[in-house]
Amino acid sequence: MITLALPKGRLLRETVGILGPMGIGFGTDLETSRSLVHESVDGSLRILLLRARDVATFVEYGGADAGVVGKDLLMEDSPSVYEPLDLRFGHCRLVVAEPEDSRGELMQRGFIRIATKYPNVTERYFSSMGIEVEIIKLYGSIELAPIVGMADGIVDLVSTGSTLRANRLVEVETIAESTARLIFNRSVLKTKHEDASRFIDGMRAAAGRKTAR
Amino acid sequence: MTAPISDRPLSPRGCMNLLPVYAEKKRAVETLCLDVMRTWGYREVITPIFEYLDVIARGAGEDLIESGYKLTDRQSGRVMILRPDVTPQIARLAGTALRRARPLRLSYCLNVFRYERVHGGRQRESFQLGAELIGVREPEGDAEIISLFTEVLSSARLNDYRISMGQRDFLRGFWEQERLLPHIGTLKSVFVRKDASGLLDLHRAGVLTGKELGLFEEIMYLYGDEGILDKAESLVDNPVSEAALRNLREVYGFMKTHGVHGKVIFDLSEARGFDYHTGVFFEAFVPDRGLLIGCGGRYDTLVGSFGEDSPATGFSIDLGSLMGVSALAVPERTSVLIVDLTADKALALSLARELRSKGFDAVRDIIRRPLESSFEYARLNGISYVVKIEGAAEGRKLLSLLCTRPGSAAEDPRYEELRTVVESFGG
Repeated sequence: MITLALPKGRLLRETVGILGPMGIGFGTDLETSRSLVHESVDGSLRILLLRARDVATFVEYGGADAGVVGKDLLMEDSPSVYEPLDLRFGHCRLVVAEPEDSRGELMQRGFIRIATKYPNVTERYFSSMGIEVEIIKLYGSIELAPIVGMADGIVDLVSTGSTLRANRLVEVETIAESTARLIFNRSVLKTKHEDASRFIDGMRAAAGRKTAR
Repeated sequence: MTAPISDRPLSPRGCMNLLPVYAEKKRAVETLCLDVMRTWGYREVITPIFEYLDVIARGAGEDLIESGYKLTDRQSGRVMILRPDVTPQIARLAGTALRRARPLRLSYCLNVFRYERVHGGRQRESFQLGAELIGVREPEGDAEIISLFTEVLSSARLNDYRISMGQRDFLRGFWEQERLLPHIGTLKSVFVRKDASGLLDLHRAGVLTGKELGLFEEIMYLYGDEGILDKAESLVDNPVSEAALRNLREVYGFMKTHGVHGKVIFDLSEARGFDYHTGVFFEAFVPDRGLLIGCGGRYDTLVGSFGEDSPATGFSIDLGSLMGVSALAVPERTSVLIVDLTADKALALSLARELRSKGFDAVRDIIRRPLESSFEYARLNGISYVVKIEGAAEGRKLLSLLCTRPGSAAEDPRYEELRTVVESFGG
């Protein structure tokens, strides 16, 4: 049996959607259930439902064998795990955005203040650009920070861009593209290599069919 | 009662304060492991806790130096580093003071200091237990080190573990071509994460040809049991990787002779390890806990960066991780708390001296308090017996031997001996 850590929300729905064609089903609706642990009907998979931010931590420390997590969080937290498969769903971009009236000024200054949920990526990105950055770490509603004058811009995840537009922000740079990744605990991938390989191959085939459709 | 919460930590985060129960277990595990290594001819060394940064930097890679804590030598103004790793120190000894002894077999149990993200639960100070075999180029040397590694783990009563083996030159043979040289850092980080999509990105960026993409993807999945060595052989297209594979098979052959191959799995795509690792590289995992417990490998160029050149290999075990999964029990001790209710403590002190000379732990209560408090103290400190000394008629003293836990006397092989000693004092 493989223990798979999944984040609640969009990635959960997408993952359950490709587990189905692999013959892995659940007696209950994972999205509405209050229980945090679920076993598949065929007994081959155990699901742990977590906050997205905790998925890689569970996998790194052996609380789960594998997990599904966005590349954005892997870049931010640099966990010591394997990332054998790009599941190609959950696509979004990590971008730098500034208020509409800044007119591209953000990247022209040598010193800026950025609000973000991603302090590590932000630090690495601006430092490689040679721009000194002061980071304001926030946990949500990042777009508010420039509106109330707390920050010159933001670094955040963008899917359609509608939230940015609604808050009069425009993208100035794309830092990275992000999709959901299947990650594995280092020890498990090696020591249970047969189960792990079978699961990865199954997920790859199912994710491939989905993308092809 | 709640403990006061201080705004400022009283002791640096991630550093070790080992309380008695844990410290005793650590001592038991490390003594046992060092003794096992001694039976293979590995003799313990103790190296300084800090070193000159420029000297250690000759051998240790950027990754280690970056994670180290630095301070300044008051005398010379030179920058020093708290040792982030013991192996470069041993390489320094092997290249200088111990350059004549070959093969040189050394063991150690020492603390190392590395900056780690503290919320990650990793310690910034940790204890490493290790062995180094210096001056041996032969595959039998690699096999000896891995066999010793497994014997140490088994002696520490770690039953379920696997050794994942690879060879650093295997990947190097594929990467080290002029065109790929500027991208080796990226390739390494892609392989460290076994990130197949990272290879695809490199192909899209024009770094890897379509043929290389297909080949590297296959190489990335070269982990599993012995069968993958044959699969690897069919993929090899260069002499460096071919020699690496041959070397790995030779080492594995000797491990079969040692009888320790049953725990081995292979991973030819593993790119982890320190910059100084050169040949066969291995890691020990506890499958059920998803835990890495130790690692090691060949470092043929490290000794030469400090003095006389010499091939070498070794391993290190994270003692804290090992203790977390070791089923080893700390040897039981028979301890006695001596409570003397009379004014003159002469009898208490001479009884204590006699008990200690017989190999018992004899602890004086000293503080005047109700007997129940003394019992509670004894139980909290793992003391199984209390000897109570009271005044009796005609200035005599009365001794009684009491158990702090019901049933402990019946299980204790030394109880009769203890009772005899106490009786000889008038109990």
